[in-house]
Amino acid sequence: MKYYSQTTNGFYIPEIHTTMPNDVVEITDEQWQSLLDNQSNGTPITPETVNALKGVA
Amino acid sequence: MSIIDSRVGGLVSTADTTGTLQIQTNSVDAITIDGSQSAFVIKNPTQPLQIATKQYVDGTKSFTQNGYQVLPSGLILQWARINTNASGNANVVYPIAFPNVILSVNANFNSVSNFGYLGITVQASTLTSTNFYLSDVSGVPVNDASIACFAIGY
Repeated sequence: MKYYSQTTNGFYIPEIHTTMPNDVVEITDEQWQSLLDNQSNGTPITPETVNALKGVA
Repeated sequence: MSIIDSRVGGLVSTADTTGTLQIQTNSVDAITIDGSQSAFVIKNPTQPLQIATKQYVDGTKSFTQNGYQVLPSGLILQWARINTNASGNANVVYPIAFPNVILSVNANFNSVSNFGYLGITVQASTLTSTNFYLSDVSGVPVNDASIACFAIGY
């Protein structure tokens, strides 16, 4: 389980991030890995691409 | 979970939320974890002893193309691959955010086809706890250049 914040456009893990931005949403490890793999292949990580992967309009 | 161990006159606890095992002892001489010769003995602990378990270390790593490792000290190592855009630039989101400080970010070419191209740099002004920006400085940008990035912080 990871967390994503639109405000900071970053990822957080509860193991080390004892405080997170207020707007974090949960994403699965698989979604997190896909976003990073897509970034490697030329698709930037943005709130839009994260929402698209999560199936959120 | 807490266990009072009368032999060491202290408290063995796994209550720490980071997953590290905490041992506190009232004994002034030693803590013995195991009676065998291979075990370690800590004498005269001056403060609560923390031991990072393998479970904790394994739980704070991701050994993939884009991954990270959090060391028991809190030091975070991260790496990522990125391809530049048509302008020779790229924004990189770290696999995980740095909670405190970024110590260093490096980027190098990963593909042989771009060998000799030295026109990219990490824009220091763009460093945040979650992102950094790779910028072409050659004036002759290479589209789709494969870049390997490494960052360290805590």
